[in-house]
Amino acid sequence: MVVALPSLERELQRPETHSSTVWQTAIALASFCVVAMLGGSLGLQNWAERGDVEGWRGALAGPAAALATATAPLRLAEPHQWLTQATAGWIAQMAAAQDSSGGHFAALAEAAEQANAAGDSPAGSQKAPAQAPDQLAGAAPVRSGPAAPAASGSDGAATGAGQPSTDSPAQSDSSPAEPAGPAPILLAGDSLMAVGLAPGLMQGTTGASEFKLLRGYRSATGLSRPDYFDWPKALDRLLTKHHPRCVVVAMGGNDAQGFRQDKKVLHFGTPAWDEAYRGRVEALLTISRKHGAPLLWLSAPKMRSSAFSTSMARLNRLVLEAIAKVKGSAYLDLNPFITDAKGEFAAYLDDAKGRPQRIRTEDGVHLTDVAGRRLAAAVDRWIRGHCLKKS
Amino acid sequence: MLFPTIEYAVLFLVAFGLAWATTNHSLAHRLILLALSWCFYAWGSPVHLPLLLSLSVSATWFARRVQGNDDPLQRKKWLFAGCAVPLIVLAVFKYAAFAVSNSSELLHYAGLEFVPPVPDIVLPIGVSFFVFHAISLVVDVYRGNVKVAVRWLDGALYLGFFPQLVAGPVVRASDFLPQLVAPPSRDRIERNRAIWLVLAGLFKKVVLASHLGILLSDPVFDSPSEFGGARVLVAIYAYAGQIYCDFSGYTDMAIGSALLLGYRFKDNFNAPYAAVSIQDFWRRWHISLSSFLRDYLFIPLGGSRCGEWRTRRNLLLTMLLGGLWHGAGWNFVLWGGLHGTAQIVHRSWSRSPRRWIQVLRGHRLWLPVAWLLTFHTVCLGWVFFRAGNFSQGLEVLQGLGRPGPAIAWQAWALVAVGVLAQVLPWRRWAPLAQDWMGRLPSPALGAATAVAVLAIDALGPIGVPPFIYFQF
Repeated sequence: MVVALPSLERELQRPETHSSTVWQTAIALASFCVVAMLGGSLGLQNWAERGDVEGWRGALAGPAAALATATAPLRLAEPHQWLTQATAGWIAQMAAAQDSSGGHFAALAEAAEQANAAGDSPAGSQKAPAQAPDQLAGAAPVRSGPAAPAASGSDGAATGAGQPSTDSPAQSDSSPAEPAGPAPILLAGDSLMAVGLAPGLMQGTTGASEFKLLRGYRSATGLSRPDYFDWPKALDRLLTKHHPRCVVVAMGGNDAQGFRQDKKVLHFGTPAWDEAYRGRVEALLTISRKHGAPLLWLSAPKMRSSAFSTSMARLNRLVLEAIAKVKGSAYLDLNPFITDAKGEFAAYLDDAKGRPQRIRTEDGVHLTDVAGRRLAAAVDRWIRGHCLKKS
Repeated sequence: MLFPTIEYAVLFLVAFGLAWATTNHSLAHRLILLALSWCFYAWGSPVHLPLLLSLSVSATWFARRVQGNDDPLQRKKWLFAGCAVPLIVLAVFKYAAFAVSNSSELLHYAGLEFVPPVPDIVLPIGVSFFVFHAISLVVDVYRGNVKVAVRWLDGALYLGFFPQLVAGPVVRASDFLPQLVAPPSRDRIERNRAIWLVLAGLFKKVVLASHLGILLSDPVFDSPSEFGGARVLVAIYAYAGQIYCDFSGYTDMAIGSALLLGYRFKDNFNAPYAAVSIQDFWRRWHISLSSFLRDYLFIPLGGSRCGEWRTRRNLLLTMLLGGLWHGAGWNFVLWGGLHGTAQIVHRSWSRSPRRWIQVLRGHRLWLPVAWLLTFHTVCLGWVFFRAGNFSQGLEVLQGLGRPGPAIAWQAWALVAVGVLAQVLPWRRWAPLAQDWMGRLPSPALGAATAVAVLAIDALGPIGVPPFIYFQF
């Protein structure tokens, strides 16, 4: 532990061969700003459009769009776009090459590449120049979004806690021949699934030899940004490639953000956004139905941040509305499993012996494996009721 | 607020303009920096700002009491109080829940079924760092290392200065406070070095750390049982690269940001994976923390002056507490214990009078072996550091023996860039690059920097994950 460091005095006396004046530095920074704004104008526009409608970031959407439009003929933002696409392609290649778990990641990476190549949004496939803190891989955002009406008790209304229900799935021609061995069940979603839920479900169902859970989730994804990751395409590929008997989905943590659809900017918290998002959920459910795989949607949990909880309750309501429209899908409200006696957010809950166990990660967003295991029995029951052939 | 965001860029530009415009008005200059630092901290989640404010006030108050007192007993009294307050803050906010949940476990094994309620306390971002700064302020003043009078604003700015506020480096009061007395020189900004550091930090964080994590380490650590041995090994190496790129990237950006404002922090990393002993590793990894632990914990415990056994005890205790500082979890204690044990083993080994050991250590082939041993000891530590708990760490290690498909060369290449690149002589290249930057006219330098930032952004995945060290 003996560390020899030069003293600060010596550091300060070191001859500075590269020192500049404040004006030289200011000129460099000004030039940096101009070039970065021109070269990243599409990304800047994208970033601003994802902000809250009432927030300062959302308010910049107009000027950012004007800048992108005005500078479009110069085509200065194109190199950034090319490089972004090349990176996406490279990531897909890497994921496919190093995959050793049956190709799930490869299919996911292909979807990401496709999304980038397609450039679904009018802003092209441009990424934000620097990702905002509310779009974090491995950690869903804590967003202070505009107040949205609470889910007005609709959470869990479709199904009682632990008793998820579903209509019979529509059997389609694309159903594969029944393979021997355990039935594959696909786990899909974002980091809400990846952290806690999937590991907990896997641990909680290890004794079940009739089915096997497949990892098909990917952190930092959702339905708001098909230009980044296209879930409908990814799900379609996963279903085509692996023929899971059922799908269990948990996502939404990154979705409380504005997006662009049909050349219109839709801000989170507006009725137009709600309608568009519900449509996206329906599209996802329909894909699963087309493949004849019943789908169980695990609700977004209550979060530590009340504003974030409100946003998630809004998403849950939209998901419930979509599920009511698409046969073969079910909804399970997680909150009764992971909230306290008053139904509020709890970081710790007692286990069967009355000892406290951490059920939420320190970010106040994700679940721990313990929480995932709490849900395992209910999910197991649903899988047995809807995905396994009755003997 | 995170560094690689547009929000931070805007805040930094405002800070740059206002801070340099007021260098002739010390009070205004420091007030502006303090206000912007508190904005930086409160951005998005202002709930812990009062904690930072009150700790700043109390630390400065204690430091001023120590400084203004000639009575040794009184000085000692204020020193203890000045250290106790931040430590209590750390205990409550970081360790209370951990302690309570473990104590109920202990009571259960003792046959007592008393279950105390576990407090749900949100960990304030950066608390581990500003608590250390609060301690450094009082201790440095007590030791007479701070030669300037501690002013209220300076104490608050020392704890809250935004480049180092949330994830370090740990800056000493004796290094930082004198810089606030004399205003930074407007003609001597190390602009090129600062830009180089920011770009290098961005690249390490946005490109290397993100890809290493998302593609290689996260999938395996999330469910280790699904992967073969070679893939698990790649994931462990990848995590070593990820945590280095993540954390050193952050501190590079911090040092670069401060430098553009005229303030200097010492280097925090020096090619840690080139280390050839565990002691050497700690001279190169998170230098500001290891030297802090040395000066404020190891040496006060007696250091290496009280015989071999007490030295070993002090080493182990320092590393165990250093491990616990990283997080309230047994995996961090285990990680610290592993490093402490490795240091003790290395100490015994390197001081051994046995002839064969001395011959072996003197052999030219020993160096690569020592490097391999050191690197893999560090990697073993990272497994438990990353895994979250002991059983998951063991599960990852068990996966090393599982047969599995071969690994694509791209994965090895990415790991090599993240881990081994630091063995290359960057230190010689950096001055060359800065020299080249110095030859560019200012507008061209700014434009080239913008092109580099856009390229780094495009090369990274969307949604850059938060810095690993934020949680500490």
